[in-house]
Amino acid sequence: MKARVLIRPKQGILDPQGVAVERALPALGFAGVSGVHVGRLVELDVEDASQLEPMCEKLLANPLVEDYEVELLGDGG
Amino acid sequence: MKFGVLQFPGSCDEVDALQAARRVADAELIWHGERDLKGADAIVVPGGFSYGDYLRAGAIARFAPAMESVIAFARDGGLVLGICNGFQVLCEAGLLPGALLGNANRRFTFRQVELEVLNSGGSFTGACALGERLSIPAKHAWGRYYADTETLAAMDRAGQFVLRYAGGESFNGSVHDIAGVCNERGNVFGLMPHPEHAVDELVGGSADGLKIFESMRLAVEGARV
Amino acid sequence: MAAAATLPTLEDALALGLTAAEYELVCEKQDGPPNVLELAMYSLLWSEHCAYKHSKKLLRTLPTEGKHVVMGPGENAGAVDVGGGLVCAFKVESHNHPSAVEPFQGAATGVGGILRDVFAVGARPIAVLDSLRFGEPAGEGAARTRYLLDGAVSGIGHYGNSIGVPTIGGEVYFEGPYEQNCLVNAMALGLAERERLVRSAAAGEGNVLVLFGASTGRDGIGGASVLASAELGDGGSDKRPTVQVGDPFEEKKLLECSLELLQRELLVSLQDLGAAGLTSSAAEMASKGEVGIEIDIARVPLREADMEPFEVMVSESQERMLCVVEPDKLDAVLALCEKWEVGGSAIGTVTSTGRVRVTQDGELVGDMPVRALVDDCPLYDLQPAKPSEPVYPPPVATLGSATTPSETLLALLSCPNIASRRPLFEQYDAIVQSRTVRRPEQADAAVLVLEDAEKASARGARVLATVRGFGATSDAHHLTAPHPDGAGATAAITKALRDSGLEPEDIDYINAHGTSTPLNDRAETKAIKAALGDHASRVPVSSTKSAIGHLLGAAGAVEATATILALRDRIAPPTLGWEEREEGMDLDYVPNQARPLDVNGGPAIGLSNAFGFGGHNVVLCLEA
Repeated sequence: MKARVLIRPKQGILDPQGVAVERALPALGFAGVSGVHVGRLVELDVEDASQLEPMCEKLLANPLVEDYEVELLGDGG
Repeated sequence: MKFGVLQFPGSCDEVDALQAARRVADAELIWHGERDLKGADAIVVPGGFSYGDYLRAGAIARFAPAMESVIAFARDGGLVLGICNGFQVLCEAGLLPGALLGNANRRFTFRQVELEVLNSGGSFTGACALGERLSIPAKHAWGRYYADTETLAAMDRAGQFVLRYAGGESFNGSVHDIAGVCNERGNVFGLMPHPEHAVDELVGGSADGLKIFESMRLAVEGARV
Repeated sequence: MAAAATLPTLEDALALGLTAAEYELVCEKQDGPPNVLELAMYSLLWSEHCAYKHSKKLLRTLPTEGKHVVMGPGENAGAVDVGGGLVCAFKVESHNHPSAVEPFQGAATGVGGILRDVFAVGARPIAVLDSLRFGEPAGEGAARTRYLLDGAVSGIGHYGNSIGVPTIGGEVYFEGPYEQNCLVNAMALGLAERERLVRSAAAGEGNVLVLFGASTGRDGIGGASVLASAELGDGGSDKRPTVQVGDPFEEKKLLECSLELLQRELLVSLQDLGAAGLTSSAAEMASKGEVGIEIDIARVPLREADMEPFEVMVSESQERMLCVVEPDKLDAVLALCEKWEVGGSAIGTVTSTGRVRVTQDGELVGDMPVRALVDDCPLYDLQPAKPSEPVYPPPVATLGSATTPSETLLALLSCPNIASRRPLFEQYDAIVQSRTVRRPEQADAAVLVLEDAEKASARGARVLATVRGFGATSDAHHLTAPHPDGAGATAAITKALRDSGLEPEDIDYINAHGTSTPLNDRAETKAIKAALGDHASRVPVSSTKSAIGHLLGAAGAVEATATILALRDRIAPPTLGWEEREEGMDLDYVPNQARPLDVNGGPAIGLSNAFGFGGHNVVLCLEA
C-alpha cells in the first residue's frame, strides 16, 4: 500500500523559507501570491496502514512544531 | 570524575568536546550503538550533523541505543549537556522542552557571540556569576529556539532559561533570544553555541566555555561529598 | 572477445569526444573495433579531464622534487614533510564547469572530491579553502553572478560544515571576463604521520578489490567527456542530469572508515572514485601497480535496477572509494565498513594480466590493456597563437582624477573586490577540529589612521605612535632590482632622519624591508650601514616578513603597525628561520627569538623600511 505524508510548519510559527519564496515570486513576475509555506513530503510503501500515524508522531514529524497529513494511495499509486 | 561524550555517524565536534572535557576531568567517547555509558558521571551530546541532519536535525540520533541509556541516566538525575546538534537531539528526545527550527536568516552562520548568564545557580553555570558575559562561538543553521507561550511561561517561572544572546547578538531568531535552557529538574542542559570551542585563548581568544565543563565537575564532585 | 550485438561506430566515438585519429588508435590497441563498454571507457580515460592530453607535456616541465617532498605528482594528493614525523597532504582542483551548470552541487561536489583525494592518501583533512572568480555583480550579468556566487558559497559551506572540516580561507574576485567562465577552485589540506601515507598502486595477484561507500547509480554518466570538452553557457538546464548531488554525511562516514582501515593496516592500497568513476580508479590503480584487474559488475551495489555494464563502469556517483585488500583481511575490512554504515563489497581481483577485464555474472563484457587505457592516450602540443585583438575589452576606469578623496575612499570600500567578505565566510564553520588560531578576517590587512596631533588630543583619541618624519625616494635603478649598494634606500633613510630632526644614535629599532632575497637584503644592509654609520651595528634590525611573508597589498602598512607595536611594547620581533650568516651581513638581525628593546628610559624610536620594484623607497620614522 502506497502512502504519502505531507508535513508542514504549524500555523503561527515563523516559516522563513515560506517568507523567502513568497518574496521571490513577485520579482519573477508572479503577482497575487500569499500564504506560502514550505514543508516536506515523505512517500512510502507500508504493509499496515495503521502504523502511519504512530510513525508520524514518533519520527516523521515533530508534533510540537509541525502538522501532518496522511494520504493513502492504494496499491496503484 | 568522568565525562562520556557520545559519537554518532556524522558527529563533528565530539573530539573537540572530548578534549575540552579532558581539561577538567577524565573523558571517553561512547559509540552510538553502545548501551553502556562506561560509568560516566556526566554525558555530553556533541555538535555536528548526526545522520546528516536528515529528516530533522537530531531526529534520528535520538533513537540510538546510547541515547536510550542517556534518557534513563537523565531520569535518574544524571547530568546531560547537549551542544548544538546535541541540544537538538535532547529536544527531539523530550529531555528538554521546545524545538530548534531553521535560523531566521535562513543561512548557516558562524559567529562569536556574547551570552548572558540568566541562571547561575545550577549544575552547568555554577562557576559563572549571574549576569556574567560569556564569549562563545556559535555555528549552526537550525538554532532558532521555539516553545509555545504556556511552556515558555512555565520555564520562566521555574528558572529554566539559562543563557541568552546578549543584545543584538542573535542571528537565529530564537524566542526571547534564548541560547540555552535546562529542564525543570536542572540536570539536563542544552545550548546552541559551542563551549568546547572556547576553552583556549590561543584558539579563538576566549576560554569562557571552560566554565561550563568546570561547573559540571563541581556539581558532580559536590554531589559526591 | 566480448560478445556484442552491434559495435559502436566512428560516429559514436566522435559523439563521445574522441577524434577520428584517436578512435583509429583505440581500434589498433583493441585489435578491432571496441564494444560499447570499451569505447565508453576509452572515451573517458582519453578525455581532457582524465588524460590531460593537451597539458601533460607542459606540466612535465614543472619542477616536482624538493628536499621536503614526500609524495609528488601521480598520487591522489601531494605531500610534504612538515617536521615532527608529520606530513601535510594537499590538493587544489577546479570544478568550474559543474558549478556553471548547478553552482550549489557543483561547488559542493568539488569540495567532496578534493577531500576524498586527501584522505585517500591517509591524511585526515584539516582545512578547506576556496578560490572563486565570477563576473561583475552589478550591471547586465548581475543576476547570474549573484546566482553563481550564492550557490557556490552555500555549496562549499554545506559540504565542508557537514563533514566537519573547517573552511578557513578563500578569495573571490569579480571581473567581466569571468562571466562566461566562472572559476570555482577547492583546496583541501590534510595531516598524517609520515609512515601512514598510502599509495594507490594495486598490487598482489589474487588480492581483492573492495568498493565501499555509496551505492552506484546513473549519476554523471558521460560527465567527464561531456563537461571537460564542452562550452559553458547560460542555457544549462538540460545539462543538469550530468551533475551529481553530494552527500557529505555519506562522505563523513567514508572518511572515518577509510582512516580507521588504514590505521588498522588492513589495506594494500586506496583510491577514491572521481571523474569517470570505476573506470579511472581501477585502471589507474592497475597502471601504477603494473598489474591487471578483473571486475564483476554484478557485484557492484546498485542504486538503480538494470544498469548496463558501461553505465556501472562510468557512473560518477559520489562518495565511493576503491581499495585493494589481502584475502585474509577481507572479513575485517567488510566488518569495519558495516560499523561505519558504508556499504562494502568485494567486486574484483588483482591479476597479472596487465589487462582490465570486466565481467557480468561470469560473462566477459570488456577486455582492454591497462597501458592502452592509461598511458597510450596521445599527447598534443598546444599551438598557441597570440590573438590579433584583445580577447576581452580593457576594464573601464571608474575613478577619475576629479573625484575627491572621500568619494574615492567610499568608492574603494564599496568595490566588490575590496568589500568585506563577511557575508560569505560567515557561512563557513572555520573552527571545527579546534586547530584554527586565526579565523577569517582576523589577520589580513591593516588600516592606520593618521591625524593631526591637536585634533587627536582634542577628541581624546588614544595615540598609538607619532610619525616623527619620513623619507621617500624614487630611483628607478632597475625594474626588479635595487642598486647593489642600496643607494636609493640609503637616501630614503637619511632623508627620514633629517626630516625627523634625529641622529642615527636615536634609532632603537629598524623594521627591515627584509624580503629574504639576496638582492634586497644585501643592498638594505649596506644602506643601513651607510646611513647610520657606526650605530648600525648596535641597532636591532629584523624582518617581520619572516613571520607573515610579503603581503600582496599594503605590506608597508602592516609592517608599520608591527613597528609601532614593537616600539610600544619595547620588544624587538625576531627574524624567524634565520640560519646562517653570510659574508658582509653582520648586523644584529634578532635571530629567531624576540628580545626586549633597550631604549635607555627615553621614548622608543624606530624606522620602518618599505622598498618596492622600480625603485620606490619609503622609510617611516616612528616614535611610541
